[in-house]
Amino acid sequence: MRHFACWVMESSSYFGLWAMSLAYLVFDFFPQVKSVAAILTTPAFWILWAVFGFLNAIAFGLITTRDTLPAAAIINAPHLALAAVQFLSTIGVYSVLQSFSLQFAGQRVVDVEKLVASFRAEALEAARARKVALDRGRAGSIEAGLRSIYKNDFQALTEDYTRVMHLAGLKVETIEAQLNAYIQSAGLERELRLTELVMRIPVTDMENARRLLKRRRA
Amino acid sequence: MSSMSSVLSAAEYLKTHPAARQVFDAIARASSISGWGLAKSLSIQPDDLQMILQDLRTEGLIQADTPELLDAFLYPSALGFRTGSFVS
Repeated sequence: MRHFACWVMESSSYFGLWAMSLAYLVFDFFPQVKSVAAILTTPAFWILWAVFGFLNAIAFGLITTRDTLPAAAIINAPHLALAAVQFLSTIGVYSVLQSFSLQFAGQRVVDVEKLVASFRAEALEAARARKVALDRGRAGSIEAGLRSIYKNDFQALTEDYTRVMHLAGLKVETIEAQLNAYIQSAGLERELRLTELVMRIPVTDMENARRLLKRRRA
Repeated sequence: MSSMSSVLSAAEYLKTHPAARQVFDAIARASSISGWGLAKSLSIQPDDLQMILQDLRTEGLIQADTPELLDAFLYPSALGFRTGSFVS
């Protein structure tokens, strides 16, 4: 029974540690990705978390003794002491990994900082690509809704496309030429031209496109 | 993976091209932005913007999800992220 209780305590310590690593990395990535869903669905992010989490577990093991936590001597609350050690271990691992390099005879023989910075940048690129894929999907669903309206309402297409694209800096004569080319086309070419025109509305301004769709459906 | 010399070369490019720096910063700051969205928010003529975006892509600083840059959603590449933290 005592062994089981120890096992539960130890497991919860490591679970908290992994959770703290995850929270730290999400907090680090969020300002540059701005989507938790995109971050958490990026495989490179999980690899980074696995590496950092593993090193964090080693660091945690090194700063705790078998039965007691050193922080318990100064913090009179066992759970708070555990959280404090987990926090210190997490901060320590990230601080060391993000600045560690070993020089020998003036040459950098170990440069963990560079390796971590490169992989972090690769993971950030992958997370932003994932965010873009999610946004492209959202734009696609708005586009499908608008397309079904504009297909039978050229006046609405003219009004909305002109307003949105004029604000984006497209010249009036170019807008006019694009709309004329669409209305004068037929068959597959007409379908392609409509897709091109409608797709630009959510791509240029997603919020405005969402409002337009709501208004046109009302 | 982006080497330090690529980062320095990209940082030098941004330093000597203020318009490209302005566009790159807007892409890096945005949650998600397209070429047309950039033209709208930065009030840059689409033709001029297209050239800047092509240069940024040639330098390896940005990626796009479609070949047509104005219609594409844009985001910084790994080199762009490293250069961004280097020049900021």
